[in-house]
Amino acid sequence: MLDIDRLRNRELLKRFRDGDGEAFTTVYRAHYPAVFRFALHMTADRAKAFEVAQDVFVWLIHHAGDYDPERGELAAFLTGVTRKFLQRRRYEEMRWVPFEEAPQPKAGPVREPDTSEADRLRAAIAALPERYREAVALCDLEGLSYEEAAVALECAVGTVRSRLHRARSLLARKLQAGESGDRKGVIGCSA
Amino acid sequence: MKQDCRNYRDLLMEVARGREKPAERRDLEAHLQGCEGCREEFASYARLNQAEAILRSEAEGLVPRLEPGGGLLAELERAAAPRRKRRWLAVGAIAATVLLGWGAWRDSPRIGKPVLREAGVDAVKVKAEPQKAAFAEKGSALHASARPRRRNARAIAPAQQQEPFVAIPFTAPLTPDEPADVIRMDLPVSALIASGFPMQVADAGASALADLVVGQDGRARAVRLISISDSSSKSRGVFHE
Repeated sequence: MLDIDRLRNRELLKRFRDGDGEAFTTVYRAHYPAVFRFALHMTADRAKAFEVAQDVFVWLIHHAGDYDPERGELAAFLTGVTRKFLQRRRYEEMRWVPFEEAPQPKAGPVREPDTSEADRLRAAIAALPERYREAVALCDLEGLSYEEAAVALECAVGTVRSRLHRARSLLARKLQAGESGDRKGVIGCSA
Repeated sequence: MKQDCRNYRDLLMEVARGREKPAERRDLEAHLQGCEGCREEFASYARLNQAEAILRSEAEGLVPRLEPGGGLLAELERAAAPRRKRRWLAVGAIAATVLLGWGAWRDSPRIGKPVLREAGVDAVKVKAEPQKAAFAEKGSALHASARPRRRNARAIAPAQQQEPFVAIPFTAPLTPDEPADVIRMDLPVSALIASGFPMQVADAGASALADLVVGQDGRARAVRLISISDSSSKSRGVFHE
């Protein structure tokens, strides 16, 4: 059974398919921040996050009819679209092998790195495997429930939970290792 | 790692994230009192939470302005142009069919006076006149000073303006200075019932024409019924107490 918000989103999408700028602006205002933040958490690069978010909304202009309110919230649908664009961007970047003699391109960090814990965490998240990074970005950084994240990631709730637990364990160890200078940073219970 | 500690690993994670039930927290706290290793691990997750909070705050501050740029709006216009052209062609074809049919009817023998049917309207934007909505006095979650901003459509008839808006259950109220939009649209009555409104209709497939008050976060806060359509008749909308 559809709730009012999903019906309203469907109505707004229908209107902006017809060129209604106000309907599009309403959807944009409501959903752009979450799309941008998810892209930022996944790339740790503001410029890339901005480009991905723009790609998502340009895509939405041409594919508004793809959203089916019976299948879930518009926010989860847009997160799924953002994932696809992030994956495509990563595959495209992997296709280009830099020449050894050319200077390596800089990624455009969010801000100049220092030794703060938040910066160490940002670097640690960026180093996580993608499936763990997604779980951290959606559940910890964006506050989605396991169920909401499972819809966005198109996987089971238990899968989200286990990936997040594994990711948090890795991140906690990295933070601990960063402070102590011990690269192993093993945390365990006394035998 | 002790076997007991393995059993508490998942719970430790959930408690650190604040997602546990009260009984689970008490259970874990009892274990932590006797296990230094798990206490250290729990402390490491608390530290992780603090660092994540900083990242969340930074990300929030980096979100660009909330208006779509001219490029996106131009893209919207380009995408909509072919659809509008197809629609006008369809409208023209329908109009031509109606005219031909009317001509045939006019010239043909008939018994009773024909009934004209109005074309269905999916949604209508409400006119942009600065007007304070009349909110329900009893049980309303809305602040009385919130002013809905209405845009681009025909004016509401005086009789309809007397129906108050009723707050949608389990939604956060609008703040006093929060601008809101009022959007008129057709809703299935079943959706209104599912949202918590006490309604009694004979036809389970009935639809309701309603005005929605929508906040800046895009979520509907209140609804005002205009009319309910079922298979037999239209009736004035009202929520049952």
